[in-house]
Amino acid sequence: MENIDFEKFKKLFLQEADEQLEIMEKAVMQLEENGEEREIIDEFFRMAHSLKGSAGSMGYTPIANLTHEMENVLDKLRNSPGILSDDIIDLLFISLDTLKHLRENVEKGLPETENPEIDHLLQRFGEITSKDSEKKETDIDKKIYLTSQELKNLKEKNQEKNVFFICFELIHQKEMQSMVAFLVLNNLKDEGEIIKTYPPHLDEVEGDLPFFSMLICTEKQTDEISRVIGQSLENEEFKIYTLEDIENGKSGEYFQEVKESFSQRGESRESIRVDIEKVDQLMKLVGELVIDKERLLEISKGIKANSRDNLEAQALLQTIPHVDFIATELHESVMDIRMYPVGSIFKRFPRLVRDISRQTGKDVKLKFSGEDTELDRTILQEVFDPLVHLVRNAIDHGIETPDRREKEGKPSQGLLALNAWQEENNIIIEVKDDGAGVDPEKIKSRALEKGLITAKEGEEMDSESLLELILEPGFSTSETVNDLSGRGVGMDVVRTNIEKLDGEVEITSQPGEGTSIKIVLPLTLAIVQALMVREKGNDYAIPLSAIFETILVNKNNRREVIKTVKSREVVTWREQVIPLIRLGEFFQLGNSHEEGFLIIGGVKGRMVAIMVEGVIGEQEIVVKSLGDFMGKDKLFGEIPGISGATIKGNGEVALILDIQGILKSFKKGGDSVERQSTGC
Amino acid sequence: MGKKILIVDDASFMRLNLRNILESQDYEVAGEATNGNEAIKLYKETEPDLVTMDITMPEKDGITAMKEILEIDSSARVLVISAMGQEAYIKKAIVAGAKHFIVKPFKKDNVVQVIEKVLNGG
Repeated sequence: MENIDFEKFKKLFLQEADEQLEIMEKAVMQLEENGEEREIIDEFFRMAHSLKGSAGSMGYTPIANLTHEMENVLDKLRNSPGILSDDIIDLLFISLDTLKHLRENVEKGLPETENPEIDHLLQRFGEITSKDSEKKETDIDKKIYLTSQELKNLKEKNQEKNVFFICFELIHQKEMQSMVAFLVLNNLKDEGEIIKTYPPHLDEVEGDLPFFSMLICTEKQTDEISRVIGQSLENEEFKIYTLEDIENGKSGEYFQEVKESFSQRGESRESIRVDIEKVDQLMKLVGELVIDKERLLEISKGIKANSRDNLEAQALLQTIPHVDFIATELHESVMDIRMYPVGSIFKRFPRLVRDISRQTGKDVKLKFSGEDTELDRTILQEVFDPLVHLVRNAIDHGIETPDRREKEGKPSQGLLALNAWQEENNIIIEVKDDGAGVDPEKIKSRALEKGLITAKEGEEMDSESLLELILEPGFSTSETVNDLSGRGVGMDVVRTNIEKLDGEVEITSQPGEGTSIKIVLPLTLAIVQALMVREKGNDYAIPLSAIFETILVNKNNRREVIKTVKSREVVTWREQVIPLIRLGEFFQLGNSHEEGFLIIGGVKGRMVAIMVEGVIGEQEIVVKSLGDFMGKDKLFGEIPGISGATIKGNGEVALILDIQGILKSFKKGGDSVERQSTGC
Repeated sequence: MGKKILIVDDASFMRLNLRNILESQDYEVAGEATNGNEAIKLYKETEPDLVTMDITMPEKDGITAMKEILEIDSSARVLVISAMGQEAYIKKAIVAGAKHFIVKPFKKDNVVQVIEKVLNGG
């Protein structure tokens, strides 16, 4: 193998191995929880089998050996039901860990060394598989698999026709069994359309084939099909099932409807693997294209006015809307590629929860919901570590020991839920437990002790604000410090990481009932729809997701719209009283004006009305980070109310307003907060 | 009265063997051909109900001969006879229109069964 090719193969191998390991891990978890389930064992077996195959052809002998033994044990599980034991489960877990370790070594390019651990594992597997020495055929996955969707399509497409599932075993015919099956298949080809067969490529099979099955779609009735099969089969029984039989689960052990969710093995879906860097590059280019597109739109406005007689200019004007359309579509398509189901990180948790529960002596049931919710892949990756931390915390500090839970009249098994859902332009991921909850009073005293708040502040804070203190640096209420969590560096890091993603962390808790921590994330970061507004000669972009309404303010309605309550200006909007911020004053750009537009915006139920001089219009903006310039100890320092910048159609820079940040600085200190001038 | 069957095989031992089996079941042997060309010629002359066709033969192999027979008479019923391990040939024959197959070495019962099936089938 050429070196380059080898690297390519290796990369592919590693990618696939990750998937296979993940599915196998999920399978062991399910086996442990639900006992022997044929479907799971089969899936597990297939994964071990393909990993063995690819490891073998790559020359990774230890992986191949270990998966081979796993395969044997799984095969035994299939053939002798009832032998699944804790021992086997443990052994499978350890093997998966070892496989992961071996996989790491492959990635790092470490040489294979003698590994006594593997030898020991192989030996243990050997003991289990040799307990009764009955030899089985190696590969006996005889099923035809069809996803629920495929089944549905089949039904819909063939309402006029019959779909039959046909299967037979060759008991009397011992020689050239595959020929018999081939003959049957060939004769049936004239009767209808063959949809699937087991084995899939019969013409490549030679010799023994004790079993054959197929799905056929035909205009003929059962008796005719029976007759055709009967001509080719000597003394062998065969079975014909209809679609209805299949749906009613009568189709026997040789047919299986697979639920798409278990794993998208995707015979029905074609997919290719693409390096994430390539997608990111594509995204970048699309971002540039969107900027150019906005420029074109800007330029076309000028052309419109000036050159009605110029044919070329008119042609250009006709082309630009199309470019606009295509760029938007392209952007959406690329975004879609980057979207990934949250379930892809959820599925890494069962193992973690199991381990932590064991270490802490707790009994925890893990539940998921909303695994299909999609999120930008980059964000998703960044969320994993914070989630791990939250899950650890929940088990370690939240959920009580079984004894204690029983004393408190709760079920001894604690419940931990990972939920995800979309709320407008945000994706929420929630870690929720039914544990002890957090006592605001305890937080208060701890915060006082640590000097995070003064006694006076403590008095004034409501329980919601007190809970938020958990997210402050250096806060930890756990009395014991262990190696899992509670090292005092926790929640603040979670918050910092989430805020880096433009997200938020929210805590709610009921003492005795449990805690919910929500991570609120933007759907995507790169390109957003925004309203462009103008103030004191500067343009600002406000993400449309944060805007509810714009209201024109002139001298006629001014007094009606803007009121003063307790020397603060407010706006009554849909029966809510919301605070008013004059953008020019907020950024200290100069005196206020009495006419203009009110932008009614809000994030998560907290509203604000922002007064600006003018509204320019809606536009797609490409978000450029100012992270290198803004923030503590950076060139511009911390600037509340600005989340980034964008390039306008005319090539100039506009700042992006951060409604959440404005709300925050407003809430903290009202008008007294120190602000820097941000004209550009 | 018994149906007419044409035996095609280059080995006389095989032809004899088949003849004995067929005659014991009251079938009439329409003729014996030793290669594909002879088979086609005899098929035209005797118009048998069934042909047992060996695959590997000199001059013209069984599959080619079968195809030509099917061109002459699309309702011709041909069952191919082949040695163990010649799956590929049998598959080819099946695709080309063979009604069934028999594997050498064969057992009498098996041959009888297959022939009955083919003769009774459509």
